[in-house]
Amino acid sequence: MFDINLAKYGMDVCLITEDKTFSYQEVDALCSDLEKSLPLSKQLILVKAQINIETIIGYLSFLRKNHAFIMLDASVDDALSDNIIATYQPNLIWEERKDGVEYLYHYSRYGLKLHNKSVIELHPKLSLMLSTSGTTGSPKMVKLTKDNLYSNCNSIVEYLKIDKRHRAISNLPLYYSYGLSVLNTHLEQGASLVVSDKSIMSKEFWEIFKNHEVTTLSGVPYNYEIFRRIGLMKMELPSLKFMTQAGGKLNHKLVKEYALWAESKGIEFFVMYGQTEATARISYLPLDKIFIKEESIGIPIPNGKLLLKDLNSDELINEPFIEGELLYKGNNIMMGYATKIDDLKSDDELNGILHTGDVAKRDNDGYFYITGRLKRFIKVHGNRVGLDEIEQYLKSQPYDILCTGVDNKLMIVTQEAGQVEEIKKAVIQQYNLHHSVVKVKYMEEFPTTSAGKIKYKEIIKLFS
Amino acid sequence: MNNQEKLLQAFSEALGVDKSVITDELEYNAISEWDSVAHMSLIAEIEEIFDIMVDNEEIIEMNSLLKIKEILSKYDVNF
Repeated sequence: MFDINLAKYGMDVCLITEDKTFSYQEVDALCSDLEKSLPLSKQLILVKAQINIETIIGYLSFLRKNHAFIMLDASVDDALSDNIIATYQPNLIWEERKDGVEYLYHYSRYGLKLHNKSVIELHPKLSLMLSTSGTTGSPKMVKLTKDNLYSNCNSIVEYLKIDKRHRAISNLPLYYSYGLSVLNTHLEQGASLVVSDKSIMSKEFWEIFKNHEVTTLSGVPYNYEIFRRIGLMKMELPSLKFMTQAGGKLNHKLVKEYALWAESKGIEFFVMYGQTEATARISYLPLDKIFIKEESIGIPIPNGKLLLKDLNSDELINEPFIEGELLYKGNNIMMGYATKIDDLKSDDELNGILHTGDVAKRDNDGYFYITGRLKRFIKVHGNRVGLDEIEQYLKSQPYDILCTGVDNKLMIVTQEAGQVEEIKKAVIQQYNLHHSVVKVKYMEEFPTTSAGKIKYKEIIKLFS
Repeated sequence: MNNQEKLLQAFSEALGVDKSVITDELEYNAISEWDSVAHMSLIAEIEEIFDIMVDNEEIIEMNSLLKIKEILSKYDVNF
């Protein structure tokens, strides 16, 4: 698979950075070099991930040497990374080198730091760990195995038909399952990846895109809104042949606009659905179905299976157009979550079935449609934002509030009219959210059922 | 408000920063507050405050305050 067999592609172009082009052989050699400094026994490693070659070399090395490792956003607040380090006590940390710190090994700007010599009990299959909490502070991690990664990689390569002539670009972060899936699938096929951390809003990004003849562009809904705003559809990008979209629901009018434009340019546009808990990909909408299966998440990836379960029982739903919880079966399902160091030794808890937390229905042709979300989070500009975390944080300040929302709009209600501005500021500051996505309103009385359960839907109505 | 004041207002609103932080030398991504989300918001604020519609292709050119002033002059907004 992609991590072990790098050398098989020899001199073919693998990674392209602003300074240099690396062949597969060179990438393999860089990994081997780093691996010489790694202990033979299974380690827990924290990677402070940025979009750069050093992060990728670390990722591939730790993966192929069977270590358990966390890919963490290097730019998170110190408080959050300190919390993760304190929770998991990683043996080693792969990070951008700092002055005055001793490193066991270094490559370019990164160094391998010894953090904890004690033996941590790690499940032998535990491999990649990814956070889904974004900026809302919890150290909860999704635990994935190498089989999960390989299985998802193979499925994605199959339906996207990725081959060695493709060239992707790293605009998606490498601490994010979607970003890693782009890397994995392109390496698997001997294709190439342009490694640039330039923003998609910058002129430089598109110059790099053109100069290196990138064929494949991926993005979450927020990226696609930016692409539209900066005039992607009017740009001269003759090399662009494939576009993929995942990470949330893209407005269906925009989906159609892109689909029409893509068709006119001979570009293949794929709308996809998934979650980190399933490594990345769960389903995709085949090209020729974008117009007739509007707003559908499509059909399961090769070797995957989608089921619907009644919301109030364990009964499976077989009839079309009836809503239920979307369940997924496949080899790409996580082992479970970890919230503390003890969880790292636990066995697979899910037994091959993932409760996606989404409400969905199917149509007569077996195409699925998401109609709602059971879990208490929203997506803001592509990132998961935990509603319970925010609610608990504000309550601890203490503010008497309730928190809910829809994608890209956090909705908070308070029974203290005078605190509206203060609460808004507190949330923006604590969670680094843009003011345009945070709405706070006064509500005279919080809506509850006779049993005392909060009626969040009523709060959402207040903001509509 | 004159145009300079209007521009500072747009920046202040979009980035959520104090006007004192906004200098001519300020560039996109130079401060954490001027990220892609703020940039989209900034364009919207500029369009509203100057009553113009910025060309799509110009948005990626507007990567510094000076550059923005330059581009705005094409819309007859002078500083």
